[in-house]
Amino acid sequence: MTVEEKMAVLADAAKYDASCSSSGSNRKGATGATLPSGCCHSWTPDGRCVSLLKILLSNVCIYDCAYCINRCGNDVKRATFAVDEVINLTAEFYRRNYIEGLFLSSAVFVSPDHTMEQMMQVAKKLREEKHFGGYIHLKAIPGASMELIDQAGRYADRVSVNIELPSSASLSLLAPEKKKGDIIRPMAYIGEHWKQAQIERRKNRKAPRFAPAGQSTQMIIGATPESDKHILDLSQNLYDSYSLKRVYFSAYMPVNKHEARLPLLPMPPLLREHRLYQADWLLRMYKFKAHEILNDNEPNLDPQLDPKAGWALRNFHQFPVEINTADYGWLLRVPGIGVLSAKRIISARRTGRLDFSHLRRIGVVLKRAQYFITCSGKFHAGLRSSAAAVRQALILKDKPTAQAKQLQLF
Amino acid sequence: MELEYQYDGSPDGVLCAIADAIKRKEKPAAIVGPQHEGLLFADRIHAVQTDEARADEVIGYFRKKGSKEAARNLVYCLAGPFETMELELLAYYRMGLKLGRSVDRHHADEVVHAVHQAARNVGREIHRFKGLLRFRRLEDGLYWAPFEPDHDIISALAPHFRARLADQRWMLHDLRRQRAVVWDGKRLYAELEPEKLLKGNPVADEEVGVQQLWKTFFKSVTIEGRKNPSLQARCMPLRYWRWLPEMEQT
Repeated sequence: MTVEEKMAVLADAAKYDASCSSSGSNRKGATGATLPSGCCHSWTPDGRCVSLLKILLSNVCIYDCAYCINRCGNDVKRATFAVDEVINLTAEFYRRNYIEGLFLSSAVFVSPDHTMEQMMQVAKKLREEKHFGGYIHLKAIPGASMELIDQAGRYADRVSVNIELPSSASLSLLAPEKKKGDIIRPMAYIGEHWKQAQIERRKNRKAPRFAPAGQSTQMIIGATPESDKHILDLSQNLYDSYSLKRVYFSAYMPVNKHEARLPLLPMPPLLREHRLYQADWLLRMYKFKAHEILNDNEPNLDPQLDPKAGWALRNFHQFPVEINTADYGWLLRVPGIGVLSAKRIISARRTGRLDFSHLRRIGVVLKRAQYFITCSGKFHAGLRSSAAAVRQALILKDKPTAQAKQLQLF
Repeated sequence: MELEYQYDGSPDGVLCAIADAIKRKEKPAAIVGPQHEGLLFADRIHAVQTDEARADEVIGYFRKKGSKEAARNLVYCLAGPFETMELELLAYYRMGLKLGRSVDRHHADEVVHAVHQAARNVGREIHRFKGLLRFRRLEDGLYWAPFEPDHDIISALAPHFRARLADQRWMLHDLRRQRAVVWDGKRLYAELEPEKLLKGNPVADEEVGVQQLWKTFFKSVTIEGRKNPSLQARCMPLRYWRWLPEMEQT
């Protein structure tokens, strides 16, 4: 099989991995360096960015997970890269500025340890022989030994373990060979060592790195019956307990047509995925807690309204917020004010009182924010409204629902 | 008393106009280059002399008196369409001298906002091309990166690539402005005759194969069930596609 044929098989097999991030690391080698902000190099026709050479080392699998195209029961073309082939591809692509680095995952061939060992070799050789300073993201294989996970963390910028499904019941139904413990153990190990390395490096600049860009995970949405509340609670828990940087959601794509354990969906639930990402943003950037966004009475996100607006309308009695005096935390809770504009408001109001024309310049989305704020005690153009009326107005202005086809945020 | 400054239309010219206005304590009603109409009734016209060394001093002084960020905003603005905002740049400069680093806190101010917006547009294109620039290996081993940016960003990009591609010779080549920057393995310099390096130096044989692999990757990693070409075009504007191997029609 030529390298190009392998590429076709193993890039295709890797495409459902949602992560594309190349941010959070600051490294430099003889060839290659990383940008703390990350960098996108291209965008495919599905609108997702290409930042890393995202491939599987192999799609030969000993497991039979129901949702996976590469499960051993499927009759698909199989291929396995040699370690040096991956290294050369990464180097040649990097020299031409096609990519920020490598994202290497794999099906489990021979054994978890064997697979992880091969993947780790790729990272090790890139760093030690090629002196490669670009970004490397390695997927940890559930069931691999902790020594291998540890080495992976030494060479990679990010190591991630896929949690695959939102509950252990779903996991044992759809991926019976993967055990919850095999997923959680490396996750806890990486979280712990990442934290330690961070502390060490603060004391000593030369202390060894351990996955400096942190870890992430991914789960499939819509293949199993878990509610949005369950998924958000789980995400919150992962952020808190294992210091995860990101939780990725992947709208379920029915790749195995005759699988009785899985639902038949005409379309992947992209809008639901979008709403979950919006809620995830609230957890990570806006200091929300999962229980504020959803509760047992309302276990699912409103498809018509973004979760921040939803929260603001449920708590309409706590508004309006006075722009000239509110603290940062409250500014962040106003629909139409993002992290950047909240920071700008804080610094701009030190130079003078702000009114609505100033807010527009600052970048506040007034068509959303106007119902929730006052400037020097005044509403925008004397506007006053009830929660129900505001809800109607916001829904009309929320483009995704009107088109129901967006899928941003990769 | 309507005062008009005339300069040669270059970025250095704007900086010298700013220096003149500060030094002479004047408030020109217009600062215009040769491409633009001046005032209808100018009482007095001052011709600005462009001087590169002096222009550098203007930036250096601003870095010291204002801040590093403010100086960078000014430089970025001058890489973009600055020919309609000379007066704003002068006002921003004056504010920076007076307020120091806190000038950039004035997000609600019209002048600061205009400068920030213009600088942000240029900054965005710089970041975009850190990703979208594509090198091609030529027969003699030079990696050639042709591109057609909206703004004059080549000198802002060069240090980024020196940091990551130091062990290969390369040339960034802005085809719109016919400007080029070369890294020869030791030194970064402006190449005044980029064609000379390209003449009799076709694309290397291996290049076709590597581009083919990249195209295969690009095609395979696309999820057909999530097609969204408008999102793709929004993230990666069509005008940049010409030099991207993966967007070539096959």
